[in-house]
Amino acid sequence: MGGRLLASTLPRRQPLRATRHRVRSWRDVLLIVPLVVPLPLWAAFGPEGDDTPRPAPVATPAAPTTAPSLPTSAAPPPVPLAAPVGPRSTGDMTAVVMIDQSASDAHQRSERVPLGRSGLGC
Amino acid sequence: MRTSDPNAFRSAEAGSAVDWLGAHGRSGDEVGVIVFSDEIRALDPVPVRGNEGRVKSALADRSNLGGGTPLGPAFDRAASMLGRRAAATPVVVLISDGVPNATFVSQRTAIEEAVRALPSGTRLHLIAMNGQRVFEPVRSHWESAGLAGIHLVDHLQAGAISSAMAAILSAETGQAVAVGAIPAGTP
Repeated sequence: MGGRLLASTLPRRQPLRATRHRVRSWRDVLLIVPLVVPLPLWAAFGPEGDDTPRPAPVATPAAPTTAPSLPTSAAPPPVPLAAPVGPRSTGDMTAVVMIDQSASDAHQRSERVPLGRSGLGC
Repeated sequence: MRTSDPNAFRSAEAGSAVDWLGAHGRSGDEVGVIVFSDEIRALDPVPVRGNEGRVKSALADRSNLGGGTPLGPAFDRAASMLGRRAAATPVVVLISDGVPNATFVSQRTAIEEAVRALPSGTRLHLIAMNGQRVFEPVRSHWESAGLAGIHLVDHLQAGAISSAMAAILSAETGQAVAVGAIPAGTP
Protein backbone atom coordinates (compact mmCIF):
# COMPACT_ATOMS: atom_id res chain seq x y z
CA MET A 1 0.00 0.00 0.00
CA GLY A 2 2.71 2.46 1.02
CA GLY A 3 4.95 1.39 -1.81
CA ARG A 4 2.19 1.80 -4.32
CA LEU A 5 1.47 5.27 -3.01
CA LEU A 6 5.15 6.23 -3.22
CA ALA A 7 5.40 4.86 -6.69
CA SER A 8 2.52 6.92 -7.82
CA THR A 9 4.34 10.08 -6.72
CA LEU A 10 7.61 9.30 -8.57
CA PRO A 11 8.20 10.22 -12.16
CA ARG A 12 7.20 7.46 -14.50
CA ARG A 13 10.41 7.75 -16.48
CA GLN A 14 12.34 6.38 -13.47
CA PRO A 15 10.89 2.97 -12.68
CA LEU A 16 11.32 1.68 -9.15
CA ARG A 17 13.81 -1.05 -8.40
CA ALA A 18 13.20 -3.21 -5.38
CA THR A 19 16.88 -3.89 -4.63
CA ARG A 20 18.59 -0.57 -5.19
CA HIS A 21 17.79 3.10 -5.33
CA ARG A 22 20.19 5.50 -6.85
CA VAL A 23 20.09 9.20 -6.34
CA ARG A 24 19.90 10.57 -9.81
CA SER A 25 18.99 14.18 -9.25
CA TRP A 26 18.61 16.90 -6.63
CA ARG A 27 14.94 16.23 -6.84
CA ASP A 28 15.48 12.86 -5.14
CA VAL A 29 17.51 14.51 -2.40
CA LEU A 30 14.84 17.06 -1.81
CA LEU A 31 12.33 14.24 -1.45
CA ILE A 32 14.37 12.19 1.02
CA VAL A 33 15.96 14.82 3.27
CA PRO A 34 12.76 16.24 4.68
CA LEU A 35 11.68 12.72 5.61
CA VAL A 36 14.90 11.39 7.19
CA VAL A 37 16.69 14.30 8.80
CA PRO A 38 14.04 15.67 11.17
CA LEU A 39 13.53 12.38 12.96
CA PRO A 40 17.02 12.05 14.60
CA LEU A 41 17.13 15.78 15.20
CA TRP A 42 13.88 15.59 17.11
CA ALA A 43 15.01 12.50 18.99
CA ALA A 44 18.26 14.19 20.04
CA PHE A 45 17.08 17.67 20.77
CA GLY A 46 13.35 17.68 20.64
CA PRO A 47 12.27 17.35 24.24
CA GLU A 48 14.88 19.79 25.54
CA GLY A 49 15.04 22.11 22.63
CA ASP A 50 11.35 22.45 22.24
CA ASP A 51 10.72 26.08 22.74
CA THR A 52 7.16 26.16 21.62
CA PRO A 53 5.13 28.32 23.93
CA ARG A 54 3.30 26.36 26.54
CA PRO A 55 0.21 27.38 28.33
CA ALA A 56 0.83 29.19 31.55
CA PRO A 57 0.52 26.97 34.61
CA VAL A 58 -2.79 27.19 36.26
CA ALA A 59 -2.40 28.48 39.77
CA THR A 60 -3.80 26.09 42.31
CA PRO A 61 -5.67 27.69 45.11
CA ALA A 62 -3.44 28.22 48.13
CA ALA A 63 -4.15 26.27 51.26
CA PRO A 64 -5.84 28.34 53.92
CA THR A 65 -3.28 29.87 56.27
CA THR A 66 -5.61 30.30 59.16
CA ALA A 67 -5.82 27.61 61.76
CA PRO A 68 -8.72 25.20 61.46
CA SER A 69 -11.65 26.08 63.54
CA LEU A 70 -11.51 24.62 66.97
CA PRO A 71 -13.96 21.85 67.70
CA THR A 72 -15.33 23.65 70.69
CA SER A 73 -18.86 22.58 69.92
CA ALA A 74 -17.75 18.95 69.97
CA ALA A 75 -15.93 19.25 73.27
CA PRO A 76 -16.92 16.47 75.62
CA PRO A 77 -18.62 17.26 78.89
CA PRO A 78 -16.03 17.83 81.61
CA VAL A 79 -15.47 15.21 84.23
CA PRO A 80 -17.02 16.61 87.44
CA LEU A 81 -15.75 16.41 90.99
CA ALA A 82 -17.71 14.56 93.62
CA ALA A 83 -18.95 16.09 96.85
CA PRO A 84 -16.23 16.31 99.50
CA VAL A 85 -15.92 13.99 102.42
CA GLY A 86 -15.19 15.56 105.79
CA PRO A 87 -15.22 19.11 107.08
CA ARG A 88 -13.08 21.82 105.64
CA SER A 89 -10.14 22.62 107.83
CA THR A 90 -8.85 25.73 106.07
CA GLY A 91 -10.01 29.32 105.77
CA ASP A 92 -10.95 31.37 102.74
CA MET A 93 -8.73 31.10 99.71
CA THR A 94 -8.02 33.27 96.74
CA ALA A 95 -7.12 30.98 93.90
CA VAL A 96 -5.70 32.00 90.55
CA VAL A 97 -5.90 29.42 87.78
CA MET A 98 -3.26 29.97 85.11
CA ILE A 99 -3.47 28.18 81.77
CA ASP A 100 -0.43 28.20 79.49
CA GLN A 101 -1.63 28.46 75.90
CA SER A 102 1.79 28.60 74.30
CA ALA A 103 3.06 26.76 71.27
CA SER A 104 5.40 24.85 73.52
CA ASP A 105 2.39 22.89 74.61
CA ALA A 106 1.73 21.87 71.01
CA HIS A 107 3.09 18.40 71.57
CA GLN A 108 0.32 17.64 74.00
CA ARG A 109 -2.34 15.53 72.45
CA SER A 110 -5.58 14.10 73.60
CA GLU A 111 -5.15 10.38 73.82
CA ARG A 112 -7.57 7.65 74.71
CA VAL A 113 -5.84 6.03 77.62
CA PRO A 114 -7.57 4.36 80.54
CA LEU A 115 -8.02 6.78 83.42
CA GLY A 116 -5.88 4.73 85.78
CA ARG A 117 -2.80 5.22 83.62
CA SER A 118 -2.80 8.99 83.65
CA GLY A 119 0.31 9.09 85.81
CA LEU A 120 -1.14 11.61 88.21
CA GLY A 121 0.70 12.19 91.40
CA CYS A 122 1.84 14.91 93.71
CA MET B 1 -1.43 27.15 65.22
CA ARG B 2 -2.97 23.91 66.14
CA THR B 3 -4.30 23.77 69.62
CA SER B 4 -2.51 21.62 72.12
CA ASP B 5 -5.80 20.65 73.68
CA PRO B 6 -8.34 19.99 70.91
CA ASN B 7 -10.97 18.78 73.33
CA ALA B 8 -10.43 21.71 75.71
CA PHE B 9 -9.93 19.35 78.62
CA ARG B 10 -7.83 21.84 80.53
CA SER B 11 -10.29 24.71 80.60
CA ALA B 12 -13.37 22.48 80.88
CA GLU B 13 -12.06 20.46 83.80
CA ALA B 14 -10.64 23.50 85.54
CA GLY B 15 -14.23 24.68 85.23
CA SER B 16 -15.31 21.56 87.08
CA ALA B 17 -13.20 22.70 90.01
CA VAL B 18 -14.88 26.10 89.81
CA ASP B 19 -18.28 24.43 89.97
CA TRP B 20 -17.12 22.39 92.93
CA LEU B 21 -15.93 25.48 94.79
CA GLY B 22 -19.21 27.21 94.03
CA ALA B 23 -21.16 24.30 95.49
CA HIS B 24 -18.94 23.17 98.33
CA GLY B 25 -16.50 26.00 98.99
CA ARG B 26 -16.65 28.80 101.53
CA SER B 27 -18.52 31.97 100.75
CA GLY B 28 -15.26 33.87 100.98
CA ASP B 29 -13.45 31.80 98.35
CA GLU B 30 -12.45 33.73 95.26
CA VAL B 31 -11.10 32.61 91.93
CA GLY B 32 -9.21 34.57 89.29
CA VAL B 33 -8.06 33.44 85.85
CA ILE B 34 -4.98 34.05 83.73
CA VAL B 35 -4.69 32.53 80.25
CA PHE B 36 -1.40 33.42 78.71
CA SER B 37 1.07 32.97 75.91
CA ASP B 38 2.50 36.01 74.15
CA GLU B 39 -0.43 37.94 75.56
CA ILE B 40 -2.10 37.72 78.92
CA ARG B 41 -5.84 37.63 79.35
CA ALA B 42 -7.07 37.77 82.89
CA LEU B 43 -10.07 37.90 85.13
CA ASP B 44 -9.39 39.42 88.52
CA PRO B 45 -10.52 37.26 91.43
CA VAL B 46 -14.24 37.28 92.07
CA PRO B 47 -16.28 35.43 94.69
CA VAL B 48 -16.69 32.06 93.11
CA ARG B 49 -20.15 31.46 94.48
CA GLY B 50 -22.57 32.97 92.00
CA ASN B 51 -19.87 33.76 89.43
CA GLU B 52 -19.14 30.26 88.20
CA GLY B 53 -20.21 31.02 84.64
CA ARG B 54 -18.09 34.14 84.45
CA VAL B 55 -15.01 32.34 85.69
CA LYS B 56 -15.54 29.42 83.35
CA SER B 57 -15.92 31.77 80.40
CA ALA B 58 -12.55 33.30 81.23
CA LEU B 59 -11.03 29.84 81.45
CA ALA B 60 -12.47 28.94 78.07
CA ASP B 61 -10.89 31.93 76.31
CA ARG B 62 -8.98 30.25 73.48
CA SER B 63 -8.25 33.35 71.43
CA ASN B 64 -4.67 33.43 72.64
CA LEU B 65 -3.38 30.04 71.49
CA GLY B 66 0.22 29.78 70.34
CA GLY B 67 3.31 31.81 71.10
CA GLY B 68 5.71 31.41 73.98
CA THR B 69 5.51 30.83 77.71
CA PRO B 70 6.41 34.12 79.38
CA LEU B 71 6.30 32.97 82.97
CA GLY B 72 7.56 36.24 84.42
CA PRO B 73 4.79 38.59 83.22
CA ALA B 74 2.13 35.97 83.93
CA PHE B 75 3.34 35.43 87.48
CA ASP B 76 3.65 39.18 88.02
CA ARG B 77 0.00 39.48 87.10
CA ALA B 78 -0.94 36.66 89.46
CA ALA B 79 1.04 38.36 92.22
CA SER B 80 -0.90 41.57 91.74
CA MET B 81 -4.15 39.63 91.95
CA LEU B 82 -3.18 37.82 95.13
CA GLY B 83 -1.56 40.70 96.97
CA ARG B 84 -4.72 42.70 97.49
CA ARG B 85 -6.38 40.27 99.92
CA ALA B 86 -4.20 39.42 102.87
CA ALA B 87 -6.78 37.50 104.90
CA ALA B 88 -7.24 34.68 102.41
CA THR B 89 -4.77 31.95 101.61
CA PRO B 90 -3.24 32.61 98.18
CA VAL B 91 -3.31 29.60 95.88
CA VAL B 92 -2.01 29.40 92.33
CA VAL B 93 -2.78 26.51 89.99
CA LEU B 94 -0.57 26.58 86.88
CA ILE B 95 -1.47 24.28 83.99
CA SER B 96 1.56 24.17 81.71
CA ASP B 97 4.34 22.04 80.34
CA GLY B 98 6.49 24.09 82.69
CA VAL B 99 9.02 25.10 80.05
CA PRO B 100 9.65 28.87 80.06
CA ASN B 101 10.68 29.56 76.48
CA ALA B 102 10.04 33.28 76.23
CA THR B 103 12.89 34.54 78.37
CA PHE B 104 16.46 35.78 78.01
CA VAL B 105 17.66 34.05 81.17
CA SER B 106 18.12 30.37 81.88
CA GLN B 107 15.09 28.21 82.45
CA ARG B 108 16.05 27.67 86.07
CA THR B 109 16.40 31.40 86.67
CA ALA B 110 13.13 32.15 84.89
CA ILE B 111 11.28 29.64 87.05
CA GLU B 112 12.90 30.84 90.28
CA GLU B 113 12.20 34.50 89.53
CA ALA B 114 8.61 33.78 88.54
CA VAL B 115 7.88 31.86 91.73
CA ARG B 116 9.67 34.45 93.85
CA ALA B 117 7.34 37.15 92.52
CA LEU B 118 4.36 35.53 94.23
CA PRO B 119 3.33 36.81 97.67
CA SER B 120 4.88 35.08 100.63
CA GLY B 121 2.91 32.04 101.65
CA THR B 122 1.42 31.42 98.23
CA ARG B 123 0.72 27.77 97.65
CA LEU B 124 1.67 27.01 94.06
CA HIS B 125 0.50 23.85 92.34
CA LEU B 126 1.77 22.89 88.91
CA ILE B 127 -0.28 20.58 86.72
CA ALA B 128 2.58 19.54 84.48
CA MET B 129 1.63 18.55 80.95
CA ASN B 130 4.24 15.89 80.40
CA GLY B 131 3.36 14.53 76.98
CA GLN B 132 6.49 13.18 75.29
CA ARG B 133 8.30 13.77 78.60
CA VAL B 134 8.94 17.44 77.84
CA PHE B 135 8.51 18.43 81.47
CA GLU B 136 11.31 16.19 82.66
CA PRO B 137 14.23 18.53 81.76
CA VAL B 138 12.78 21.32 83.92
CA ARG B 139 11.30 19.16 86.62
CA SER B 140 14.17 19.67 89.08
CA HIS B 141 13.92 23.44 88.63
CA TRP B 142 10.29 23.41 89.71
CA GLU B 143 10.93 21.00 92.55
CA SER B 144 13.63 23.25 93.97
CA ALA B 145 11.35 26.29 93.69
CA GLY B 146 9.30 25.07 96.65
CA LEU B 147 5.93 24.20 95.16
CA ALA B 148 3.01 22.88 97.16
CA GLY B 149 2.55 20.12 94.60
CA ILE B 150 3.48 18.93 91.12
CA HIS B 151 0.78 16.90 89.40
CA LEU B 152 2.01 15.07 86.32
CA VAL B 153 -0.28 14.54 83.35
CA ASP B 154 1.44 12.22 80.92
CA HIS B 155 -1.64 11.75 78.75
CA LEU B 156 -4.13 14.55 78.31
CA GLN B 157 -7.43 12.76 78.44
CA ALA B 158 -10.85 13.05 79.99
CA GLY B 159 -10.53 13.17 83.75
CA ALA B 160 -6.79 13.92 83.88
CA ILE B 161 -7.13 17.58 84.81
CA SER B 162 -10.12 16.86 87.07
CA SER B 163 -8.04 14.30 88.97
CA ALA B 164 -5.27 16.82 89.47
CA MET B 165 -7.80 19.44 90.57
CA ALA B 166 -9.28 16.99 93.05
CA ALA B 167 -5.83 16.41 94.54
CA ILE B 168 -5.25 20.15 94.79
CA LEU B 169 -8.62 20.81 96.42
CA SER B 170 -7.98 17.99 98.88
CA ALA B 171 -4.69 19.58 99.84
CA GLU B 172 -6.11 23.09 100.14
CA THR B 173 -9.33 22.30 102.00
CA GLY B 174 -8.34 19.32 104.09
CA GLN B 175 -11.30 17.43 102.68
CA ALA B 176 -11.32 14.27 100.62
CA VAL B 177 -12.15 15.32 97.06
CA ALA B 178 -12.43 12.80 94.26
CA VAL B 179 -13.42 12.69 90.63
CA GLY B 180 -17.09 12.02 90.04
CA ALA B 181 -18.66 9.81 87.43
CA ILE B 182 -17.33 10.35 83.92
CA PRO B 183 -20.21 11.59 81.74
CA ALA B 184 -21.44 9.33 78.97
CA GLY B 185 -19.94 10.11 75.59
CA THR B 186 -16.69 11.42 77.01
CA PRO B 187 -13.72 10.13 75.00
